[in-house]
Amino acid sequence: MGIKLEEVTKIYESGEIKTYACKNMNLEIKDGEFIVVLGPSGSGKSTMLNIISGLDTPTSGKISIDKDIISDMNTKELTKFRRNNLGFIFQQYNLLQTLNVAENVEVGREVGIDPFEIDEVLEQVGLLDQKHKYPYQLSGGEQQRVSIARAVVKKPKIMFCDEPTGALDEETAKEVLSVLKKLNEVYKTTLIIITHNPSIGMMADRIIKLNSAEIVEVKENKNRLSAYEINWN
Amino acid sequence: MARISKEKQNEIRNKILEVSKSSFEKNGYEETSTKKIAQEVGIAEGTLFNYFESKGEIFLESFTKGIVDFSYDSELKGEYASEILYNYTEKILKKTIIFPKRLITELGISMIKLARKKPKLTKQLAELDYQYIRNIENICIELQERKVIKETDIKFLCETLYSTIMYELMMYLYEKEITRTMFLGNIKLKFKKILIMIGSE
Ligand SMILES: Nc1ncnc2c1ncn2[C@@H]1O[C@H](COP(=O)(O)OP(=O)(O)OP(=O)(O)O)[C@@H](O)[C@H]1O
Ligand SMILES: [Mg+2]
Repeated sequence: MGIKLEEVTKIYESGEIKTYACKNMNLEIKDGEFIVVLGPSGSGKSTMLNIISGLDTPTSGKISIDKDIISDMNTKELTKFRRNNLGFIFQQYNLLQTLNVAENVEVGREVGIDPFEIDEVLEQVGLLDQKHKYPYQLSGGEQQRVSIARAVVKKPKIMFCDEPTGALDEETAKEVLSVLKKLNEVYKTTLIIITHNPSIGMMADRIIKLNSAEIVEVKENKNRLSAYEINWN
Repeated sequence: MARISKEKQNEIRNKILEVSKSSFEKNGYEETSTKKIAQEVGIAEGTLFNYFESKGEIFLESFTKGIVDFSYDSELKGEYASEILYNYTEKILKKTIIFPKRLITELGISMIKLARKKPKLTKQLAELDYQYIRNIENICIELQERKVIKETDIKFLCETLYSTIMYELMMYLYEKEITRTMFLGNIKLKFKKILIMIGSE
């Protein structure tokens, strides 16, 4: 699915003070594209992602995903749309600690209309042989791969990832990123990753840079690198 | 008080609550004195203590009675769990945050000080939280029966929702620039993420 933002603005008002979290954002994301959103802390990355994915609503502007105008939907319609079409990987709130790997993926699967098989997805993220383990028995990277499997199993059209490697060391982060990239290639899922690490941008089709709530640069990346080819910094 | 009619007694009692409430809002907890309340109501301070044991008790009653309504029937009409749980939570919180931040913080501190002397008050205050938790638990059970949320560990879900509210409340109280709207917005967003996590949305 493709995404279109037109003059999207989000303002937080605190008394007299207005804070722009997103300011007149215009952007088109193509179906199947791999996008990395970069920007310093407070530049509006999470807000932008929350708004595009219908978790939050803009103050003004228009957001459409394919033919659907997200910004015109009410809560009910939005929830339904999200449920049917979108996948999420958050920094927190990902895995249920009392369920094992397969059961956690099952939780994601039940939401889907035409989901993948659990084993197939676990195979893709390289965790098929660990499906009976519990989150506490896994490394940070493995846990994050379970989150990915969980989000992917319902066959989302778009995957939204807010700092999916934020808490991971370089090696583990690369392992997670290469899984995300693979899923984008295998399933043609539109993939949007938010990060403050510019080197991750080298993996994407396009890099969107934010600063002070505005899109300041949109850059094509002709030569997509694999996770293991990028120089980490 | 035997010589005053029941009706008159109620009238005085309500007047005390009314006067106190506006003084709490205007002057804060510490700056509100029972002496001044009594003066404004037109009774002796000693008489006031026939109605209430302490300033803390007055505050608690002016706060809980009639201000916070914990019932939830109409909230259940939504279709998705995050919406239903949030709407109910918002109803409760909106009543709580009508007081200025400063007053809520101050009250918290005063209550801690008071707790040693009047354990009953602390219990009453804690009862508000328990009541909220019990009610969201019941809402969750009902939503599970209606298949709005899938079978999940309800205790865990309620604990997660409740800790989220408490965390956001702290941030709201301590960070000057976080407004009521932001506070509620943050909770709403997190509720959605939590319901996504348990696989209901
Ligand atoms: N719920 C909120 N209430 C008030 N202001 C907010 C809220 N969320 C974000 N902001 C403000 O909006 C701006 C953008 O915040 P946002 O969280 O989108 O940034 P970010 O790029 O994701 O930052 P980080 O890299 O630290 O996660 C900041 O100035 C932030 O303080
Ligand atoms: Mg962020």
